Amino acid sequence: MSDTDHEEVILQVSGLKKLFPLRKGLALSGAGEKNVCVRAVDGVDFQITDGEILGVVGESGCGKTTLGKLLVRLHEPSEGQILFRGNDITHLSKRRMKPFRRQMQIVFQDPFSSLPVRMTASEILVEPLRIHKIVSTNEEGVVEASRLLEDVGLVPTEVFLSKHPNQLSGGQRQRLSIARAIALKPKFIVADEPVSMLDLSIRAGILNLIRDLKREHGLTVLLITHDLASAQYMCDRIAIMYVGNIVELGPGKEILRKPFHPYTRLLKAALPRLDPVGKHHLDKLPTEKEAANPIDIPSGCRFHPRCIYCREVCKTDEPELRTVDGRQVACHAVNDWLPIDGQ
Amino acid sequence: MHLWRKSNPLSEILSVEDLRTNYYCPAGTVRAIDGCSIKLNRGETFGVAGESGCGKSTLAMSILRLIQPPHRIVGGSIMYKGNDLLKLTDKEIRKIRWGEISLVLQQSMHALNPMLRISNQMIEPLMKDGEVTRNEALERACGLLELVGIEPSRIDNYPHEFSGGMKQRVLIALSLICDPEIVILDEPTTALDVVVQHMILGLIDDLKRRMDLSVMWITHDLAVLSETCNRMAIMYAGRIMEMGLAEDLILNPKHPYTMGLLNSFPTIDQMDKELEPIPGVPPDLINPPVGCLFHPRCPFKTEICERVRPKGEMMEDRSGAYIECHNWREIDRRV
Repeated sequence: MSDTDHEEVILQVSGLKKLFPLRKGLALSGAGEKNVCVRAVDGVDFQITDGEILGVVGESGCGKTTLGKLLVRLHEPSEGQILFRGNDITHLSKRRMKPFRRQMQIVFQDPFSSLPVRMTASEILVEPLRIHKIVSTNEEGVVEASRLLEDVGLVPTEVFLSKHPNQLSGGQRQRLSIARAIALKPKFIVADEPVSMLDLSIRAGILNLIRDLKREHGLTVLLITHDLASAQYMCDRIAIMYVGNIVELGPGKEILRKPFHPYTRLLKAALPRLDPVGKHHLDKLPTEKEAANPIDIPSGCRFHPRCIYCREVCKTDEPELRTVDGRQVACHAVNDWLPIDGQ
Repeated sequence: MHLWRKSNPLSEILSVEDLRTNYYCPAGTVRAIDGCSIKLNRGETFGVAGESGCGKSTLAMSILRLIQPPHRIVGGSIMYKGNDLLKLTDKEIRKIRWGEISLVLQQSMHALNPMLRISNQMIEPLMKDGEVTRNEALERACGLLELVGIEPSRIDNYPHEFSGGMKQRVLIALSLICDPEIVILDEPTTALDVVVQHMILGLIDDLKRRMDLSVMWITHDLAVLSETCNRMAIMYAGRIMEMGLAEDLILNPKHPYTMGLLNSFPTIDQMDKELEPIPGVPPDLINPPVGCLFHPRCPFKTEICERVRPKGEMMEDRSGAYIECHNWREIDRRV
């Protein structure tokens, strides 16, 4: 797909699905159906090239976190294929997955619950190094750990090495999580809402750190976020997800300047603006409906009940991602209204 | 909006003076609010912005005297319609809560009682004095649900039958049930998705006009305040750092903290803006810094900032702008 050799595809995902079966309990006993599933990720295709930051943006429940966990095999995919640097890792056993674990890591949303409370920063960072036999003695490990702490800005490192997570602030914890994720020098990192739990004034520090790591270490990042504004700041490309599907995928800033898919346009219109003079943004949105339920997905285009451009075909046929103007859009009507509508 | 404001000098409806609230913890006394003064004008939306732990929710709880012992309001006054709310008896303050000043809490999903139908939760505050019959109360509740965009027929549903956005709508309706003068909204949209958030912002704006409310809006999201507020205050470590018209604060911030805050999050209005985090972390309020509370993180700090807590300065003009910084004039010239 990529035309040159130096644009190596790190990750290639095709037809990826994850369905969580629901046990038929009290709440569903009225439904009278068998095999009710939450279709968290429902047929997703994309690829990530070496050294890029790909953003996955969507509302809560759209499956973006599930997608991130699937990619690093923290969830077992229901269908589809994940190729990591050409190797099929979709169903590898734990043992055979181990060499790949070194190359792909994840940073979780909540730095308060994703770090072990009884370990010091040094122990947290040395453990993966020892498991993967990168260092053989503890001394070597500590040297490496302080280098990592320096990389993520936790200096002076000798102070931070002996700290427990509960002695750190939220931002410092998230830096430690990132240090742990890059300890094994991975090629690829999933960052799942890395700043949404942090104070406003320190978010920028974490975002800038991830960008610097990308630049300096050639890291490839999948950034999961609900915030279009930070996705635009961080990402080379952005994928917009809606109820388990990617509906639009393309260059980050362009998608925001000129969104094609009606859903992306809705998200942009709903974003509060920092423009106190023109307080005109509270105008009514084109739709008052809330997002579809991933248990009971609408027929055809899953966005059609909320879409102002909805036509007959949208109610019956599911649109595929098609290339329009250098990006991919899954919308039947896109060619009809794009030229007329402009912005 | 602006024309209206010019022709009607605003009257003050709530005035908080030098409020101090302490939390008593095993590790020491947390000065959650440490001398905070704000004024809410009739008919305006007043925003309070700040990071977590800056005391903005404590401010809301203090105004309604909902601080639970052993924690306590230790000083200041809260004037509402000529009365100091801090001097009222428990019985009197109960009349103020909901009837005069109501509060919409942050976590809509947890603020409703899951065991009770919406109808019972909505009519309870109306019927507590026995002046209103059940049918009258139900009628009013239905009317309010309709106003917030929920089918009145759903009044007998349980909270779990509503989505997050709808629960927030129910809570807003609930806060209006006793026809209050002031509504305090504490992060009303933080847990919601942007599309739902947008609808709630529009709804509150609409209700404010229709029901002649004065609104105090607490959030960490400056973009939300910029959409909704006439005036706003920036809070840090339990004090107001800067206060003024929303457009002044956002377009022409004067306090170093406000400037830092505005530079530290991305917006789609300035896509090419490079973000600069504020160095350091918010202070420990058990041992707050000597001098200016912001000085350890301030790029403009001078020697005096480390010694002396700056006195707030009120601007002379009608905007009621306020700033708490030794060097703001100097900084303003340089920036």
